[in-house]
Amino acid sequence: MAPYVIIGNGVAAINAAEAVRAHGDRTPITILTDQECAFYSRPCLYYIMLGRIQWEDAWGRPDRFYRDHGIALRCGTQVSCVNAEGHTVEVEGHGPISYSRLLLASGTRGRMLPWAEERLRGIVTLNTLVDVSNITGLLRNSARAVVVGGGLTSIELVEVCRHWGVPATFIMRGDRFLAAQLNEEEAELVHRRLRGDGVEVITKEEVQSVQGRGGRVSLAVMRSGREIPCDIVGCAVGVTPNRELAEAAGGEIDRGIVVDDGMRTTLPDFLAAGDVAQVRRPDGSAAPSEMLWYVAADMGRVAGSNMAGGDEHYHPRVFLNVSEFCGLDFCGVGSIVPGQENVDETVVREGRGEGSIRLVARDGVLIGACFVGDIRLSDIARGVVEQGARLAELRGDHPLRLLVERASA
Amino acid sequence: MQPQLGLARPRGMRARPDLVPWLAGLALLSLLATIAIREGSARSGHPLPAEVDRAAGLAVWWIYWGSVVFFGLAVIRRWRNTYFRWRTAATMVSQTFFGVLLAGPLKAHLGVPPLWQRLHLTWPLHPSVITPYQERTFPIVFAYGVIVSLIAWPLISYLIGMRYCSWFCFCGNLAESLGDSFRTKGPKGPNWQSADSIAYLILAAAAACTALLWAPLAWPFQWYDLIVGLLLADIIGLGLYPVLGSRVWCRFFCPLRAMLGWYARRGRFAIYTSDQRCIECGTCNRYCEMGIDVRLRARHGVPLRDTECVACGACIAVCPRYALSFYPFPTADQATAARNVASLRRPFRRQLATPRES
Repeated sequence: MAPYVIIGNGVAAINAAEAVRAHGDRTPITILTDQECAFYSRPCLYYIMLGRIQWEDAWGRPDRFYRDHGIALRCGTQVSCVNAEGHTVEVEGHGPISYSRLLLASGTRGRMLPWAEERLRGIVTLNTLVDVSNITGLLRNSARAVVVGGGLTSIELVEVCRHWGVPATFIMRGDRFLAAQLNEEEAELVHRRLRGDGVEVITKEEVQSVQGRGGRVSLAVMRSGREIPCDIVGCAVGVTPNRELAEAAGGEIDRGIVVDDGMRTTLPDFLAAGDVAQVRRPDGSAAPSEMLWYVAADMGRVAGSNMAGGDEHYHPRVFLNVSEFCGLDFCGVGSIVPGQENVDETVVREGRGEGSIRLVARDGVLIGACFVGDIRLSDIARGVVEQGARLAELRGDHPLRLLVERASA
Repeated sequence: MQPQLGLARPRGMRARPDLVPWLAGLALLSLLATIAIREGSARSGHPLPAEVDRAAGLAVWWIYWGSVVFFGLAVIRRWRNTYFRWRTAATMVSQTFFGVLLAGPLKAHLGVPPLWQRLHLTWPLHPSVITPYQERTFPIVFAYGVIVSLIAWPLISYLIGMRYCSWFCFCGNLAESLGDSFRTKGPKGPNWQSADSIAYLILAAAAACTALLWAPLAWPFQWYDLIVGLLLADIIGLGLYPVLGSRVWCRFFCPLRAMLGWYARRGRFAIYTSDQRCIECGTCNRYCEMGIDVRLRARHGVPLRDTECVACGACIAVCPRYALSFYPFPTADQATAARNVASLRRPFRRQLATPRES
């Protein structure tokens, strides 16, 4: 039997391969990846650069993993196209590989702005282990960094620059940091702490162009005309799903690849999982992909057991994301987009140090909670969101109930 | 295949020499040397003069106690963490009270009665506590040894895990204080994990030797004392701290760890994990002195309960995403139940005090 082919070597791919084996299926598996190394943890890269995690620890599986699981790992391969009818993938410089089932777990890549396409040393993104080695190499002989973007990856780059003693300028197009999850006050706290750490935070601004000298970045020019001399320009303005293979093969596309809750695309024997996949909701629309580690792992497990002939369904869990920046812990639970319709927001300033807790309720039911600073109640909030409990029905001494009462008193 | 990351320390930051590991190495060497000289001379038939031997015996005690206190304070300074503070304080108190005052260098000055001198002993780590000799001369010590070793500590391990090892044990407390600098050196991986069962063989040997003393047959016990007590516990157990980590004796050889672990892994103790938080960074594995694959449990979100975890709390303290806890992460069912059931109050309140501080 032709092997199962998995394109990508991230968390979805590895979990899928494990699920295939856990299902008792001994069909050979081939993993095709354009990276030059074994599976590692992407969210760790930030902590590796901060020196909090040793990079040897970030290898996600033992050395023997691929051999023990009967997986052929082919690093440094570029898949040029997929022939879904003929059940083959075309690998550059190798020729076609036939498959019995295909899983596309190719993830995302950093979205590049036009100026970031220039071939200058010093323009960096943070997506892979190679980027880490690139960035740490650059940071050692840099005087100033400019980081463009408004999300978690961009603040990771800022924090890394700060940690390594390189003054940074943080430029975002919107009016605040992490606008999809933080409201004005929470973002203002982050801005204030960043400024206190010596980071220049500029909002509603964009980098127009980047100039170089001797092949190295030397100047970033803002839209307003301001020029910032710098040695590093970080570009972290969101991600683009690597969906081209499915698109060319004729699969259904939204932002990523649209799949059903069994991770199957519209093409035969062609599955997709991880950040590249978008699960179709019961109403037919494609849910935006959450780009979280555990989501990709869940999707991978479902895809793997379905490749092996199972019938599993993916059930999204309550959104939960933990991060840490400028000395603040952050945890978003459930639906915390600021400015939603018909919601009651309760903001409590309590707990250790600076920060706040924002509870988002719709019709008295808790749908989200945003913790900045002290995140110790986040899992209790997750439990309540998951269960869909009305805040008023919670036990009298339930921590969240007490929080709400103290806020209203 | 593995890219070289070329990480150095941040610019502008001078290399600040950390003296603690060097001092720990020094304390370790002096402890080893004193034990080796004393035991070597006694067993080779060239005994030291009585005065020197007594002084060396006291020196071992004071170096031991000084290490537990000094490096314990270093642990409190290094790990800014509530659980570590309590645990380290407990080790200092127990080593001062049960060790130095009751069983150690001060017992002669204080006139401590024989039973009190033996309060800290637990079979089979200290096999002398359950022997015919104890039964005949100190029946109370014998009864105490049976109750504490075979009932009390197993029960405690069943209920709250092997706290004996991290809060009370003489070897364990040295590992947690002096050995803290060597915490990450322990070998990891499935092969090393299966080597942990050597301790069960030693437990069986300890039981056999103790039983044979009633025969009466003393030579197996003497050989056990030489091989396990001196070679494995003192020479290898201490000497290999910098190579195999601070828990090398506890992990691979300690018969008491094997006995308590048998109860603990069937008991109620667990380290709870959240796979929604885990990013598989492996830091928990690096800091686990017992070589447990914590990450494997964490990435599946299952509680870690089928291992001989000594509840040192390091994995919880180092997790960058708060994915581990001594208390359950509330699930939807538990949140529902907590609306009405008062019995869940405790875990909820404890969740508030998750043992992690910056």
